[in-house]
Amino acid sequence: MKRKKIVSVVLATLAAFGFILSGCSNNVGGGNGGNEETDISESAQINFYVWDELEKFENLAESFGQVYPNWTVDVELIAGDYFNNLKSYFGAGNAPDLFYIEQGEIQQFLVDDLVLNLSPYLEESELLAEEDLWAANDGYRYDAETGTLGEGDLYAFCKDITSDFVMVYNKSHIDEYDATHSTPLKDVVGYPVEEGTNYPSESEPMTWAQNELFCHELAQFDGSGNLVRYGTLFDYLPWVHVMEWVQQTGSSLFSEDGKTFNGEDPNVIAAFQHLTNYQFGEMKSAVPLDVNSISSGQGFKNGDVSVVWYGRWAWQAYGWYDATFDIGVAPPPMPQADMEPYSATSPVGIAIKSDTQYPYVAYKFLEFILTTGSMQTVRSGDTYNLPGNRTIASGDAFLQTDDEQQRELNNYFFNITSNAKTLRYSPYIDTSSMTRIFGLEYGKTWDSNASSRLSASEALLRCKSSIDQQIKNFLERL
Amino acid sequence: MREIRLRESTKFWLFISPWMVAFAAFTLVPMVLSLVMCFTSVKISTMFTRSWRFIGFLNFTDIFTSDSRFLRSIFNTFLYSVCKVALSLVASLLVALLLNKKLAFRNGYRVLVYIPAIIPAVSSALLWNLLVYQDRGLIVNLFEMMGCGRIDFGRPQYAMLSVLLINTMGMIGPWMVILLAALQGVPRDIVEASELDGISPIQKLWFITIPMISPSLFFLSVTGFINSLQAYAEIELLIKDNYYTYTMSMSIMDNAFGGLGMGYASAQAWVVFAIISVFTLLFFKLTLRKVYYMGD
Repeated sequence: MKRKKIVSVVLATLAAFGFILSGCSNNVGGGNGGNEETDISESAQINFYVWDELEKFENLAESFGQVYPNWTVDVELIAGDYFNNLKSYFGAGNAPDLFYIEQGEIQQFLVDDLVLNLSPYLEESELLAEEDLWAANDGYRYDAETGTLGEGDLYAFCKDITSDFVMVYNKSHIDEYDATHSTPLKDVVGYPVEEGTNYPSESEPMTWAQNELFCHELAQFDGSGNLVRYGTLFDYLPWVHVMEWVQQTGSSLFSEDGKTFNGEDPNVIAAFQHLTNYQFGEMKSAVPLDVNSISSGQGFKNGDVSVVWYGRWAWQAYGWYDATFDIGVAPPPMPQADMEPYSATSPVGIAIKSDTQYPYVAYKFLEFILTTGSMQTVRSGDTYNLPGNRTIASGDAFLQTDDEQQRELNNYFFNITSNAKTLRYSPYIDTSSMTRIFGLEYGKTWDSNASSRLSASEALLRCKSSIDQQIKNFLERL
Repeated sequence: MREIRLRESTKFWLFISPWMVAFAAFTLVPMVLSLVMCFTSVKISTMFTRSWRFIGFLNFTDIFTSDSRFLRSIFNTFLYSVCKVALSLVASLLVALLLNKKLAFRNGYRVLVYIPAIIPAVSSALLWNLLVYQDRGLIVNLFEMMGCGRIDFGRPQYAMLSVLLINTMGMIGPWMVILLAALQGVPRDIVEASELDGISPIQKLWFITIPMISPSLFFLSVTGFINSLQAYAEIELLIKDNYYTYTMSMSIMDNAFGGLGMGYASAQAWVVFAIISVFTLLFFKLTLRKVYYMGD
């Protein structure tokens, strides 16, 4: 009997503990009140979590330490799912001072006031000005009063940048096609050509329809109609790629207020249909998204894929500098002919947590990355993407680098990225949920089973229903 | 006397305390917190740094009225669990019956059957992904060479079946071991007496062997069913973003780290818990009468 009482008391205590925790609040966050400086004579230690380029940032942290000997930056590599881990750190109250962020992920952090407003620091900075930043940094702007993304103050800076989906193709596949067909590919497809060659123009984009045919003609099939050489693949951020196509039409995936999905917009339907056309039907040149295939970047280097869609970083990441064939580049195809080139960028940024103990120190390190650090990286020739500092990217150190191949690429990507546009996300649905819904619902448009296959508009209606409901449910909980 | 009792109970609590602490820290407290969270709109990124907003039964209302994906995932999960348990039971029983006979290299065969069970689930799923769900997977090419054409195992008619077959293979080994032990516990005198009476092998299996090993079959069914209802990595790593294999655990994970937040995910988890409890109780009620314990 006594034991029973003890057990009941223990259980009741635990339950009470749970209720107490529910009311418990440090109410941390919301440290966006000011930009008090930490004196350089004061000791400070901050941490920075990254998912790549660990060595580079460790070197930058060391260089920063030489300039500010009392300030230490610990750089750590986070393996696994970076954003799930990051959210857990925030929830536990031990988030890093600086962290990577993406334009499709920052909204969740902004809505909860977890990210430091950088604009006050930028205004007072003597080393970095707004003119030094790429226009794509607008994707990290947020108006806290109206809850609008893309406007207002800056909450992160792009660490580096590139147009994300430049068309990269294997020139030898075109040569091979022309050698084995009576009509050259440029005449079959009718794409704008680079003067004096048979290759696509580097400045004038082809149309969507032309590109579908281009990829289809370059693909190779066996006797049963199965792909043995892929015309193209969309394993790299496919749904973000579709967002670029949607915006090329002048439309947007979401309404102005971000509260509804434009699944009934004919331009949105056309953009999604464009994806389906590559994967299913007469113009098929890629495998469906839910069928795994080789990595497009690696497959391209091996000659298994004719056309891929990447940014500047792919040359380094996939070793394309050592490719055994000539690589061609062209702007992303556009919905219609005679349209101005439109490419999208979704650059990775660096943000600072709003309740950091040393906001000034964290900002100074971020500023260092984009100024002295950026110049160090450019001079080392270890360029992954274009520097996050546009002024440095437009300088001779980057554009007139000694290596000829790098020089050509740097110039090409600088020009195309200068006009790159940010993607418009909704602040009320996270990218993982959105892409999960697309994967589950839109995949039915390329279902080989005719009875369960849906048209693009039918599938998008289902997506709309799910996404709008999710946004509504999210708003009810704000 | 009292001192002895006190000493004995102190020893008891000392020995049991590590388990109790671990149970409290990793099971009881999280369960209590999760029960509280399901009535709030808490998110993982602000879980212990902000106060939780009470929203009543909104999470539960939304689960049953506006989350069609979760409702579909419940259907998928139950279909998967029922079929997996049935297939695993039949397959492992057949293998156990075969390997209970006197065969040359019997122990070698037992080891071979068990090997899939010791391969880590994640590695196994990734390998099978390469073999079955890749455009140029080995199994895909094999079927094509046999004249079946290029089969896309992610399609509706194949997705669940292929996932079931792959995951069942890993279950056969451990279940076979348990059933082998049960088969070897069947009294020889009863078997010999039935053989003297002229019983056929099928009759022997149905009227003697299965009733005798029914406690093990019952145990495997219950535990297998409960485990399969929590399927996540074994399917997510095999075939991602497939409407026909989207499970309850995937939906919970999606919301825990994004979506509608940890509060909603907790509510989903408690709904799953309730469903599993109800079905387990029903299962007990329906089958326990058919389980034969030799002491009864």
